[in-house]
Amino acid sequence: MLKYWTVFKLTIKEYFVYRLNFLLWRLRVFLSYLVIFFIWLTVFESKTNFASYNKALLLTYLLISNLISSFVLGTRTADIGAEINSGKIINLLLKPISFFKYYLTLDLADKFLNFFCAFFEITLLVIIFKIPIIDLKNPLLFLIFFINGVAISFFLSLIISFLGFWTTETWAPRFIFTTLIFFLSGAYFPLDLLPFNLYFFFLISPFPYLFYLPTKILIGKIDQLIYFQFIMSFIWVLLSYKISYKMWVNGNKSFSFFGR
Amino acid sequence: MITVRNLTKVYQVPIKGKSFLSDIFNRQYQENVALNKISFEIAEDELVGFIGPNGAGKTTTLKILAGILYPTAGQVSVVGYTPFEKKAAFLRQISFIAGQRNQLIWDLPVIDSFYLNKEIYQISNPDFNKRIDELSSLLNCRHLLNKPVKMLSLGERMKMELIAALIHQPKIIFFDEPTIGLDIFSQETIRHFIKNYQKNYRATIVLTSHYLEDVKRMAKRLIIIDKGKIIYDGSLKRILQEYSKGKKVSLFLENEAKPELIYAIGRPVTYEYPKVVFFIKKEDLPEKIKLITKTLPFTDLTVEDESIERIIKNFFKNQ
Repeated sequence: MLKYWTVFKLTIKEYFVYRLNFLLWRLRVFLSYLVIFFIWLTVFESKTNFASYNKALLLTYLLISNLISSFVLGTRTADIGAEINSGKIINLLLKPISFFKYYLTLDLADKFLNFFCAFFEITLLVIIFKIPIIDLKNPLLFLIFFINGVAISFFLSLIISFLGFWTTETWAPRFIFTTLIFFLSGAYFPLDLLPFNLYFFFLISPFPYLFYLPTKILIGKIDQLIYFQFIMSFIWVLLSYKISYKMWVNGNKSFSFFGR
Repeated sequence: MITVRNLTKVYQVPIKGKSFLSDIFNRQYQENVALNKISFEIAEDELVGFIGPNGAGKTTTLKILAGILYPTAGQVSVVGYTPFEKKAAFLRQISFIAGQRNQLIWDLPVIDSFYLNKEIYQISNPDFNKRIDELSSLLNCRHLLNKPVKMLSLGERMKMELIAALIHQPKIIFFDEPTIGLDIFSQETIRHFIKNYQKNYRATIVLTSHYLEDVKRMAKRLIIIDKGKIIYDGSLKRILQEYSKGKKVSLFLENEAKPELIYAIGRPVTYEYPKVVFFIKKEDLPEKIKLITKTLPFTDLTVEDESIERIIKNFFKNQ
């Protein structure tokens, strides 16, 4: 266990080597929060409700979903594709350490740092814009969906990176993956604002399970599809784990590391 | 310690198709045999040099022995384990050091990478401190421990890579081109260190290098591999004796000698007054030395072995 704690500490230490990069990155994230909030504050200037959401509920959704997404989406697994192609991954293969646990630790370091900064930035937004926050509910159910969301995000990202075993072109699939996350995960608006059929179709994909559903549960907006969502979240954890593990085993067997 | 039986490795290399679509939907592969049924054994405490031309299969063999690559056929056993299974108990006993690869954390001080390895290999605090102390004094690099990796020169980094790779005192070490790109002083330090380390810790070492001098200085046993097959497995001394055709004789002349006197010894390899260099066949050596001392006025005479590069070239010519 101590080895993973050391990995965690050193990862955090690495982030603070380039302090200016770090500050500018956080500034970019803060500006993106501002854009979303300005749009929704403008919408609520002329009306008190938007579909089934009132101002406090929708703004709380945006705040919480951004906070949760900062944790769920924080990842270092995106580097793996390049590390396979450069052969750098060999260093890890030769050590008595679990590859999955090692990357999960790197991810956790990234997630905690992201979450800590996002928490500070979002609190700042709440104070500046005097945003009304509703009471949070269902902590236990939230925790289950949240852990599943973290697991799905981790395994899906591994799947994209493991494509590096068969192709050098992992950048394009990752770009599409990131775009899909932002369209289908409810980063800009709650997905239940969409027509029901489209919403249900999205629920079959893994994306709403990343941070949309954990947020919705936390703000108390549980809908009639909760049993279906509960089962689907576990199916996606299992499926994404199985696919990533199979890709890892087969990739290791077939990859040549030729000239690396 | 290491047993390899009929080891074969075939790479599937994609062939560029006629069109972009055929590349995606109907990709064709060509089979490239990197290793063709090779067999050998390496005993405990041996230092074996693995040489051969580019693409001969040296690094592929090393990577299979370390468990990085999956063999197509054949049996491999290293310290009683099948390497590709990558059991923790196996990984704790080996180390793979490649001159071109970096395992240290680039942005952090070197010591942080060592701490990480300490935890990964579960080394106790007293052992860790003792080993860092020993290895850094052997390599004379104590002063670099707190320097960020990115600030080190290539030679300094290689020393640190060695410490990081040996901190868990592996029983088997695979060196893949450990001196590549280093200046002659660093090359010498690394060679000296590897040799001493092997002697002190009784480690089994398999070494590949393009610098044959590395192999000559360190290994007693040599395995030569070409086109995926072992073409020589035996003592380095034997190959040097069998395939060395002669000696390099260098003279520093006292004063300029007449060309006919020089050519009476043989056609010089180089002649730039005052230095003249001959290559003399082994069987002619006593007679030619006598002739030199009799006819040429010189201040210094040295007789050197033929370079190992030339001897190995002779070996390949004879295959």
